Amino acid sequence: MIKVLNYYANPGRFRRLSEKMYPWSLGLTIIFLLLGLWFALFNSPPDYQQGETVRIMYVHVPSAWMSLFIYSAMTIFSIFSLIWKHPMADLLCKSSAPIGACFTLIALVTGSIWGKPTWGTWWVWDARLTSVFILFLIYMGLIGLVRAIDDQVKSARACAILTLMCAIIIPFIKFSVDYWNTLHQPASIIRAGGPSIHHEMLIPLFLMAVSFMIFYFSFVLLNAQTELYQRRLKAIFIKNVEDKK
Amino acid sequence: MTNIPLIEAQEISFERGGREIASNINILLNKGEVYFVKGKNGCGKTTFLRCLLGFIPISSGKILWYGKEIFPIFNKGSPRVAWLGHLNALKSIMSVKDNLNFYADIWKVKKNIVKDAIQFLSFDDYLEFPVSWLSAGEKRRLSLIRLIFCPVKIWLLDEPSSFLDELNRNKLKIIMQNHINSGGSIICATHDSVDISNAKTLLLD
Amino acid sequence: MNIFLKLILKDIRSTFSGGSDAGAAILFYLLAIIMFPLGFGSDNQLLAQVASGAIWMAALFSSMLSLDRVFRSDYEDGTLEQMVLSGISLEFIIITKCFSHWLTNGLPIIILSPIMAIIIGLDIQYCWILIMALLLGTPSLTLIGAAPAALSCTVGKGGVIITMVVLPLMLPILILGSGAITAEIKGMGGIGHLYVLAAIFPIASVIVPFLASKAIRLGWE
Repeated sequence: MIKVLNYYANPGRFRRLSEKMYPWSLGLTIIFLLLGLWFALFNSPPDYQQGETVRIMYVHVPSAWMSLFIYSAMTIFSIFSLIWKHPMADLLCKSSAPIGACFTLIALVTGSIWGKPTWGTWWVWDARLTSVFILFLIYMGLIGLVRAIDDQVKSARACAILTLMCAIIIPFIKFSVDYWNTLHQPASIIRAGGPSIHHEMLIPLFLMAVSFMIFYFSFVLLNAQTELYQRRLKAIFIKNVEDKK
Repeated sequence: MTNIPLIEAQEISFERGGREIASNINILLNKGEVYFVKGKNGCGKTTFLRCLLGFIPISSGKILWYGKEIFPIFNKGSPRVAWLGHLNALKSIMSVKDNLNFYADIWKVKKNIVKDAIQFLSFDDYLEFPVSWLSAGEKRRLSLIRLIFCPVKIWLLDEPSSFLDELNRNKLKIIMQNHINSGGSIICATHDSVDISNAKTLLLD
Repeated sequence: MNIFLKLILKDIRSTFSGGSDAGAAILFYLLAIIMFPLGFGSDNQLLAQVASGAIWMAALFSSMLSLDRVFRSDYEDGTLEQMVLSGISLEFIIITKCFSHWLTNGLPIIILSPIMAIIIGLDIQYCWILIMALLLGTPSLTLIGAAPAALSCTVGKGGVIITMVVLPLMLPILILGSGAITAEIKGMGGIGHLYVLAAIFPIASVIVPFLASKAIRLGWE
């Protein structure tokens, strides 16, 4: 395992591997997405209470999962970067942030759209909503930090440092928000989630989740590739200037 | 004393802003030696010194301090090296005396040594001034005072003569000569030609 | 230990001789709390309800305002470099800096809080829990803000972006701190909140020096 990780610490090797994997993972994303959408829109039953609106769940729930999953992945990347100084880990961490922010935003927006017909309101300062919103703010902060540092290598490292800092605080946010909320209003929101869900609903949910997962995988690779090319472009540019001298 | 070199850099390469600016540099600093690091602007003199100190990671090679791979910035306990960089590390709102006393305290230097250093650079009259009242050259002289009383053998100097006038440049030369005579060693990045006996030159290009 | 005192003494001295925004941050704390009664009108019942939140928000913003300077001045004039080369470990320096930030920001806030509580209409019998909560919470505010503040040295431009990053990090303390008082007023007992608040501090004090030193070293590169 460590051997493999060390082997791909080389940017060139990593880039070639990711270039090989990218078309396959993109293809898989599309297949799973189409399959999942077909099941979600046409081949699953409407909820007996919520009717057709329940179909938004197939986008909402997987994106909410992804928002947390990507943050956990970023945390692992940042640990690899800070403790074992793996040069690709901070790059992956940095490349994940915009995708994570997108999924979090999708989860928030679809949740809001879903909330209007079912709860009668766009937004509640409920524990879960608040903590996802804070997660979104953290993602935006990370992106802002990356954009504020000109040097690409440095910005990736800074991103890793901040990711780890925020990772420590996320459980507390979740926990404290739960705590705080139970005092103000009792848990009035119950989702159609959990084990009580019908298995015909589970199939599209599962398919969508898998497609989102592979989507993340392929786009984080694409982001990382782009940056590696940018770094190489800079190196070539500098070399040209120096050769002219 | 054994014959372990104070600083030994083996085949080091380093980069700045993602571009490699120097490669395969060797340096061996022994007791009583002076190295002048020379080269045109942008050749990496400052970067080289900062690499030696451990601020900037080197991309390849090895740097040994007293035969061990421990950089001064990770060294705990007493100071190993006196560093005079571009920044003077003076607190502008504190007085000259307080600034010097702070370092004298953490380096555990005796009061009379500090006093001698102050006298040598004729700074007695300014002791109560806040540093913000001083000119750039005077601030530089103040950091030279701190350099003199720093209780270490190795000095790393980066353009020590910047902002100094003729008189003080001569004094700087005397300071460096004294330090070597008392068994110290110096690595100094500079554009000036300083005539110090037995000085070696490291040319970066 | 000797060096610890010297470093703190130096920080506090440079704070009081006008080198930082410490005084301004305390003034901000006072003014922000006074703004609340003016903004909400003199409805005492309403004020008593928002009092704890107001005090905590003012404390949070005041801490955030002064945090930006914690490492910046020493980083920019090279003092940090010199101190590290003097054989003091960077993590240790960070701890002393956090401690002196707390002494110049957290401590005055705690001392002033009973007076502010009375001004804003918090019942005097809840003052003890307010003070306890601030005592447990303000050190964590300092610590949690310190790692981003160290990163701001690397960013250079700092300021706004760090504020944006720090704010979500400090929310748990805000929620728990004001929650403790609200719970006590409602008769549910605020001790539970205080326990959780106390748990944040050791975790932050282990992890923050590590991350902040990484951030500062990144800036030196």
